Amino acid sequence: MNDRHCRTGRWLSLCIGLTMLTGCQALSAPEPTSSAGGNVLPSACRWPASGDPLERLRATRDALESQGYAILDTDAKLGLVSAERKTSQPGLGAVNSPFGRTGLWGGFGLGGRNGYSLGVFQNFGGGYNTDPVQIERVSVVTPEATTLVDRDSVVVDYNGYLIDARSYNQPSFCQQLRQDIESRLNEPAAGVTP
Amino acid sequence: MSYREKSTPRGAATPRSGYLQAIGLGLLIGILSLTGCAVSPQAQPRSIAVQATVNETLKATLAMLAERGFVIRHGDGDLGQIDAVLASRSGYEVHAQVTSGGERPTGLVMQNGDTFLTLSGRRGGQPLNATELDPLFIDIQDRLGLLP
Repeated sequence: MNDRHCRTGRWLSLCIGLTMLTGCQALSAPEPTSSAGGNVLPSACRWPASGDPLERLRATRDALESQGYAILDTDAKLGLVSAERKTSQPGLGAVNSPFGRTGLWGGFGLGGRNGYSLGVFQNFGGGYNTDPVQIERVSVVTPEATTLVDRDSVVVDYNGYLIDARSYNQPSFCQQLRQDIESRLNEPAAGVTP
Repeated sequence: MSYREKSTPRGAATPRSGYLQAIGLGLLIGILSLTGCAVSPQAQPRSIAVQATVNETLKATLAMLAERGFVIRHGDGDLGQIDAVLASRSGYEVHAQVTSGGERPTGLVMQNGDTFLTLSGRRGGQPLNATELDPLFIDIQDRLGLLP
């Protein structure tokens, strides 16, 4: 009787374990470098471009800046605007155990940090503000006739521990950006743009 | 007597094996820390030649990267360079360069055009190899209409 109980329990736990594993496998997105990795953008993040290319770039730039993004790079020939925004995440700083945290969040140690070299970490050297910082990187490109918006998000601790990193293409963000750009483009030209 | 004969070597061996263990552990930790500090390996660029203008190739590359969710960090149409990143559990970095004429990039297998496209990248510090870069090349050639 007891033995049977034990065996049922073992089978049950095995089944649960397998279900969890297959669930994770099915949920994972295709690798961006695989042949199936194309077309990952939600449809809200791509739209047919309209208007003069330079006017559109200026409008895109202003729209991103009005949301608190700092413009990093623009290129008129490629129709590119690249920007990023850093926001501190005060609540996440409550846990103050660096080793416990790396274990908890999947073991980002030396290996995980290699991918995000100095560019991400240079602003976190000391100071009294120990809140984690979320860095949203966004690019708006119009290579031909379609505008594509890409965004990702990295959350790092003040001492450089990577807490979270993900692709961050939210349809709501893209919709809002599109509306903002279009309203700026359709505005009657009132002298010099600010 | 026989007990003493047995016990003596054991008693002598225990501290020595302890030392050996400590030395072994120290070595292991030393080697592990050394590998951790090693410089990340060189990126392995791969090149193809395409029958298209520099501008077309660059725009196709840009569209390919953007469709795949990469965030374009820098791009310069005159220099012919694009830098793209993508945050994930192991972050991606991709660098693209398009040149025309000039010197042949190293590692070019066949030359069926005058525009050279070179891609290199990293995932979590490790260079992207051929199996990861080739789908990107195929995607670009598809966008340029060069594939049958």
